[in-house]
Amino acid sequence: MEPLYEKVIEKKINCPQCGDALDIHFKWTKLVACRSCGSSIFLNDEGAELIGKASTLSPEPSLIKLHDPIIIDNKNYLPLGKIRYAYGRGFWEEWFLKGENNREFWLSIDEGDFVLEKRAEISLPFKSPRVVRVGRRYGAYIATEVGEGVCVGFEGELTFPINIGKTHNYIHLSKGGGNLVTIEFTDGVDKIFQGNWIDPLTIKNVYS
Amino acid sequence: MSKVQSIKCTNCAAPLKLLGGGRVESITCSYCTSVLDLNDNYKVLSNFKNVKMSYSLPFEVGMRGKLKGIDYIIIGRVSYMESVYVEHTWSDFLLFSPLYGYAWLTYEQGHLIYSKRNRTFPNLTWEEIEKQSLVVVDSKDYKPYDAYTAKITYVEGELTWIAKYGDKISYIDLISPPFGITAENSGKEIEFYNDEYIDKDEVYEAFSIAEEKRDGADEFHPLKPFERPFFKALSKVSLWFMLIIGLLMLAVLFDGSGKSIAHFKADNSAATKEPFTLSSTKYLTTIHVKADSAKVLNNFNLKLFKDEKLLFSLTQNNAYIFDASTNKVSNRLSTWERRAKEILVYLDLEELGVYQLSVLPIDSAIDSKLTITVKEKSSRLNYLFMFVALLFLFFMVYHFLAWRYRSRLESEKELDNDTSSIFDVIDDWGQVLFWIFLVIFILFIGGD
Repeated sequence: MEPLYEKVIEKKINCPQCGDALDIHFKWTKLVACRSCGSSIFLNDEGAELIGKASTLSPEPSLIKLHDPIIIDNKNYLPLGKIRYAYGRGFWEEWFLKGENNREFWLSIDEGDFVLEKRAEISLPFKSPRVVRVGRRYGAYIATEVGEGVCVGFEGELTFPINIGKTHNYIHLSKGGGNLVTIEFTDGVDKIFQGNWIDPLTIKNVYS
Repeated sequence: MSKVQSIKCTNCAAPLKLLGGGRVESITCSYCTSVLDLNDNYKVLSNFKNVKMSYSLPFEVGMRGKLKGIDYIIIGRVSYMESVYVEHTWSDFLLFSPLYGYAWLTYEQGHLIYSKRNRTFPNLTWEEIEKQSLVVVDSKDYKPYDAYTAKITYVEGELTWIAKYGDKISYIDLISPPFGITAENSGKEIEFYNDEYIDKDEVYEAFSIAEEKRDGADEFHPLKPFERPFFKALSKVSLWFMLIIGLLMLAVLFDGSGKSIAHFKADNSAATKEPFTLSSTKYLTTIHVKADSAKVLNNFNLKLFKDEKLLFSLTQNNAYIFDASTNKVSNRLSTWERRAKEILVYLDLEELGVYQLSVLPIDSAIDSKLTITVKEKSSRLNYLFMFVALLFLFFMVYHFLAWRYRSRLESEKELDNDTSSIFDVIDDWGQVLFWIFLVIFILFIGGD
């Protein structure tokens, strides 16, 4: 198993805008923000493509820092990127974590609420996510939250392109006992994630 | 959202600070008590104008302190009154940390409880929770304890929802002291909170509460764990001492039960002088004198000699120990009860060899007979009885207090679908009974 707390560099590219060298830490990274000029760079088979300027995220206090490895339930994770979504007067962040064996995880942080999830393929007990209502039971699940947020920007590297300014719809389903299924949708279901609520006090920093 | 924002009250234009993060939905103006909707241009939703709290609390909105290693600021307060038992009131202070989010500090008649949202409660309906005898959450057993409805009586500062005077909320309290889980049903959603009873002095220190504002608390709270460290330690020490004494008694029972070295009879016809040979000075030497009646026993004198020197003299009226070198009384002892029919004399004879026990009738006209048995290596543990009894009392004090606490917990319990607690009590008393029997056993064998 590779040592996660070492920043393993998968490849190096140069920013098409400013020419600065950029380290890519994940094999399947598709989007990266240049730390020098703030450009959004899309990585395709042909190479690096400039797709615009990434929004600068206002610095906010957080338990997680980019490239600062963490331990959750005795497993190591390396935070490589984050997306911030705004809702009402607040925001939440989705942190892209590289897990052991080069696996992709997502840590959702919303003012003290932490959820660690990974992509899942499960058959949903409803035809359209638009019909889901909070508090109702759907098969083995109870819908605990239906919400939306607007993507306001990202930092680091991500495994898919994002649309800044686009509304992001989600549903939380729970079977109880701390597990959670998150469904992201627009017209139909886009992505499904499955994971657990995490007590933030159990998150340890590898270097502290 | 960690930055402090300033706004103006849309009712009275007073400056208000927003301390609490992105989930805050309402703020109650501290000047005019208007409740403003933060998601709708600070529109005035209601007012607590005519609502006055009749008492002040140690905590205030804006105070900062460190709880559970987290830096919090108090951003809001909601006070409640139970619908049925109106004397049951409490205040929830909403805490905010930019890193760890929201938590509650509940102030209830001097007791303090720290709560954070629980996300791991099993999928149970409200009715199902009430019927459970035990709910396991995060590997911990919680017993449903109380179910009640309360209404909001006062609101101050920021809240993550819009609270109005008189809003009703239903609760189910589950306990596993010092922890608990509160299920809250607002009618719109059910939320669960992990509760923990916390030391009030620690919190007062953390929030720098002035001494004069620090309240005392009642002895009892369902989440307050039963703690009597002094009596618990005393109970444990007593238990160990009882065990040691018990083992000592058992050992002595086998080794110090006494070995008969003389057994003879005496009567009123003449003085009887019986020799016996002491072969061991371990423990004590006993002289057991038995008669058919007290009158018979009282008709004799006993004298013990070694090498023709008087060592011990005993009658119903007096008992003396003599110094063999000077032939003078060295110690005067108490003698037997007038109504006794038998006596057991313990002597600490220091020299091995042959002794003479003389039994003399006082009135040869009284027809009387005695049976005398002399034993060496006899232990005397009677003096430990009081000590063991005292130790047992010390041992019992803690268990009595624990039982009294549990009885109160049971008597104040509203949800009565728990059978395990009865077994808990039995289990506890089973232990106590075990020790009662052990002590009786020790006393029995010690007194044999």
